[in-house]
Amino acid sequence: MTRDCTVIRYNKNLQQTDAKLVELLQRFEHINLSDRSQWANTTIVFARHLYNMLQLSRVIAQGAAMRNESRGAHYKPEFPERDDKNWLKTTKASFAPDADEPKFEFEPVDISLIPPRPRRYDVTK
Amino acid sequence: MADNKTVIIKIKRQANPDSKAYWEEFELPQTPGRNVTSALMEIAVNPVTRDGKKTTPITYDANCLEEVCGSCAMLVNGKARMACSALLEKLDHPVKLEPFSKFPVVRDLAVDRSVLFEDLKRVKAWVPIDGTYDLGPGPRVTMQEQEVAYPLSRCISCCCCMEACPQFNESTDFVGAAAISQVRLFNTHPTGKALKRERLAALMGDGGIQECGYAQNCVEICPKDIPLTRSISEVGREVMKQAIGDLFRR
Repeated sequence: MTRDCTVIRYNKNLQQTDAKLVELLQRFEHINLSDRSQWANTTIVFARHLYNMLQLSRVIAQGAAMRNESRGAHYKPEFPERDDKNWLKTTKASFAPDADEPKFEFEPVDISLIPPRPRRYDVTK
Repeated sequence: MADNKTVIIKIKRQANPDSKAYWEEFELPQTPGRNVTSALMEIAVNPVTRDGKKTTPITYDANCLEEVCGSCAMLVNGKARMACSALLEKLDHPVKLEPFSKFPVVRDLAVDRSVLFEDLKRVKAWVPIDGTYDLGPGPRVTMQEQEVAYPLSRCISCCCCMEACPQFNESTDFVGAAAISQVRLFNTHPTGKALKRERLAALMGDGGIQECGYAQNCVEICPKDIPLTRSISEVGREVMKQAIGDLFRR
């Protein structure tokens, strides 16, 4: 996640990351606890978080892979430009319990008041 | 692995508040820039002691890992400090980790520091607005006042000052430097001033400001460099003024 899902993102690496996450989710089914005590057990707390962290990581990896553009702080070297025509929308993810994976939908951004313009720092607007 | 490439960490452990404490030794490969909290995380990956015995991961409190949340305070080589800002390469070896000695142990290195929150409640360390209606913009705070208040507001409730204080113990019930410093902070706040008399009154009597023995350990140990002794003397003066005034007011 730290290598492939931060500022610079390549689609190939994002897909590999998602595949790895699927593998980790399978391994999660057979997880072992190194601490089985009943009192102040921080291992069980972490184990309970881990599943959610893995699912949330899939949201990040898949959401990033879908969006073929560079927007804000996120930069895809394969698609260096912002693509308002296709991707001026909010990615919304929810959890699909049956499929055990994230489900995506997109919501257009309200631009009725201020039309978007290219963000340029070399010229005054 | 060569001896100079590993670090040895001795940890005082305790399974629950009622059981006896015991020591365990761990050996980790040396990694540049590693702090005590990340060493504890590394131990959790494979909790095996130095002599090869399988054990449980260490229980400890930690959150922000950048010395602003105040939860990972412990005794590192006998000194009260934040585990996240204690870099292994800058410590004497072997590194010795213990829970705070003046607070009840929850488990291993985690202690119950709720006494500070009780102390903060006792001195009413808050600005009395209930948020039920809009009060409009608050009074302006001058630059000079901000420069005094800001260092005080950096307190992270880590309790290092209380652990280091010789007067902070069961027999004195002393509130400790952190709470006194918060009294100074909120008494200088233009809206917080409303509770000034109550805060000063809370510092009179048992466990109040007079318990301070001027050891000055608090200001020495404070990880956020808060001028705690300055706060104690300023608040002490205010408490004294109010106590004498009270004699004539009755």
